[in-house]
Amino acid sequence: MGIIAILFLWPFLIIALGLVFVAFGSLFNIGLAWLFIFLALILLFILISQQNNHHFASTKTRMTSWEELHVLREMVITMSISLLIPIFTRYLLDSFHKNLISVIAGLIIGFSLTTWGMFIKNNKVLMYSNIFGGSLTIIYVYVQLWELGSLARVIAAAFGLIAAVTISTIKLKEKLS
Amino acid sequence: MTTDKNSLKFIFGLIIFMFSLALAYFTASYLSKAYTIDYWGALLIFGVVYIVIGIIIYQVYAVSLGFLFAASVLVLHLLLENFGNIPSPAKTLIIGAVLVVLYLVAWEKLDETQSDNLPPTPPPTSPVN
Repeated sequence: MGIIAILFLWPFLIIALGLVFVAFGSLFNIGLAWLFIFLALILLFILISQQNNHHFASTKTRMTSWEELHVLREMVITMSISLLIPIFTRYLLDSFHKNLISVIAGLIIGFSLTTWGMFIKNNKVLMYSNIFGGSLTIIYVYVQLWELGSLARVIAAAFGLIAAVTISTIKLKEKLS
Repeated sequence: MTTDKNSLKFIFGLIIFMFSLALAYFTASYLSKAYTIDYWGALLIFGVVYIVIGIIIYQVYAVSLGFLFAASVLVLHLLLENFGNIPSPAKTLIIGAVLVVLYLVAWEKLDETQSDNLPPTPPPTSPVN
């Protein structure tokens, strides 16, 4: 059953990665979307060969094609999640005409995901995708904040400061004490 | 023998994929010309039908995958051509739904604490008297 579930995952993963391409094409232009796919493919090949070398260094055997597919699946999911989160936030802000509440919601999404990614254990896919996706979302929301005036900037700066202090305190608690 | 079987499954899956795509595109084109039915609407219906068929006959996975990959192509083509015209709340919902499924997959299938990707452990041996 597990193997069948993994096989059936691929059509959906193609849709997810294709949606990233479509959203990029819709937001910017189709040329940039093709450039993204080209760069993403190169990055995937580099990361898989790096994983293969790492695997060879530790076990003295090459990865089987099944293991390579597993790594590829992980990377496709990581890439899709981390790029779809900021696109999702962008359309969320658009849906509410970029009012202050929706921007704060975007900030909460970005900081929550980044924090979750920093503290998650034993799941690298969720860790990397949350950290990258959350960080991109925070950058996007901060860029949008500039147009909303000084109050929004104050709220965002305060939010960022609280999040940074909280995370640093929790992460560095053992080293500081 | 196993390689032959796998090749056969792959070929049949590929044939089903190509014919299902051809059927969808030709029918949508014919309907839009003869009965002025919306081309993209017809493709969407084909996409949904292929997904349903693919799920129903999941046990014959070569056939099922052929239908599901064809549905992927149809859905992506639809999105590529019409994504700009979809209102922002609907785009948010589409991307949100895909994100939810991706998170579920990442959570369920790729948890490194689970033994999903490890080779099966041998059954315990009976004690020797």
